[in-house]
Amino acid sequence: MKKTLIISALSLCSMFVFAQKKVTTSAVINFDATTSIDSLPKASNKSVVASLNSQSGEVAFEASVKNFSFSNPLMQDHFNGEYWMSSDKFPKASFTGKIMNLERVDFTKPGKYEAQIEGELSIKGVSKSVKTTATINVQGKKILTTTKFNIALADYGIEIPKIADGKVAQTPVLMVSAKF
Amino acid sequence: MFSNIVYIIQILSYIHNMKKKIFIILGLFIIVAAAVIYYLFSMKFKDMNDVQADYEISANDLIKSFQLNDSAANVKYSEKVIAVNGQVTDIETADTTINIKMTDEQSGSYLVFSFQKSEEALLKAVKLGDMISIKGSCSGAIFSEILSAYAISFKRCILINQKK
Repeated sequence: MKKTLIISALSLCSMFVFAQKKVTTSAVINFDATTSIDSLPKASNKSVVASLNSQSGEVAFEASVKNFSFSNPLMQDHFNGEYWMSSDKFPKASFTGKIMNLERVDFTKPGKYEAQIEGELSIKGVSKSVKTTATINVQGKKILTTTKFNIALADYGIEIPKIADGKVAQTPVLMVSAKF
Repeated sequence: MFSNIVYIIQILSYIHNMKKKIFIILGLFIIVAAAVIYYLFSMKFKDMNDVQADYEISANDLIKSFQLNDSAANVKYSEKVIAVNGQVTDIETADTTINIKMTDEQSGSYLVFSFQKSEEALLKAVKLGDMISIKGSCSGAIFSEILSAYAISFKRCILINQKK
């Protein structure tokens, strides 16, 4: 009896430990800087590394800037160029943060939870504190998360050349989704 | 006196003709500029099937070259079209599409391929452990702090030699 208790307790522990940190290498970021007059500046990156620690509430992602795929080659060039992301110098955009209301999210019980997230978003070598909300959808063993970041380009030292004024949004949206 | 008037008329008609020419030139210029702008904005990436690979390399060799010297490899391979041969170690879904990975088991460093739309049906036939060839545009490597490994990503990929 004692033995089985210990064994079951141990196996429960190991399950718990095993389930703590989840990582995916196929998270998706959709970048949207479209405006009413230009629907072209949008792109998606489908191989973002993302992690979620269900015990500590730590969340993170890392995206290769060069892997944002635009439909228009010229836009992609500009995006990677010096004015915008300068991706030769700053190849990675990343986020590290924490779920602030972790007690509200039950990773063992299926359902949709709204998580308050605070952390540091780092783009083009500049780190900024950001707050956002994420939807965490627990479906059995699968966890689906989506988050939205509104980014003020000026915060990250990105200046839109005069010629593109009005054609590119000043505060583009990053939609991040990850399946764990 | 009379010759002066003739002279003035000649000048005026000359100016008149010039104006016409200027208008025609301006008009042409505007049409060309509009065409160029339209062309640039409607430009699309070529179908990967119609693009020649700049390099052909095995997955292991490519990962090694990034591990050896990532900045040199980034300069060499970024935004180049590469045909990669290797073994499928992971098949992952990224929203509605499929990514294929070729991972170096020892270091955990990996290549990850996202595909152009045309490949959706073909990808369903790919299984873990398959030896396949993929052609795509290399986005270079980033060192992932999360995984402590190099993540080398590719976009707009196609499967090659899969039509047997």
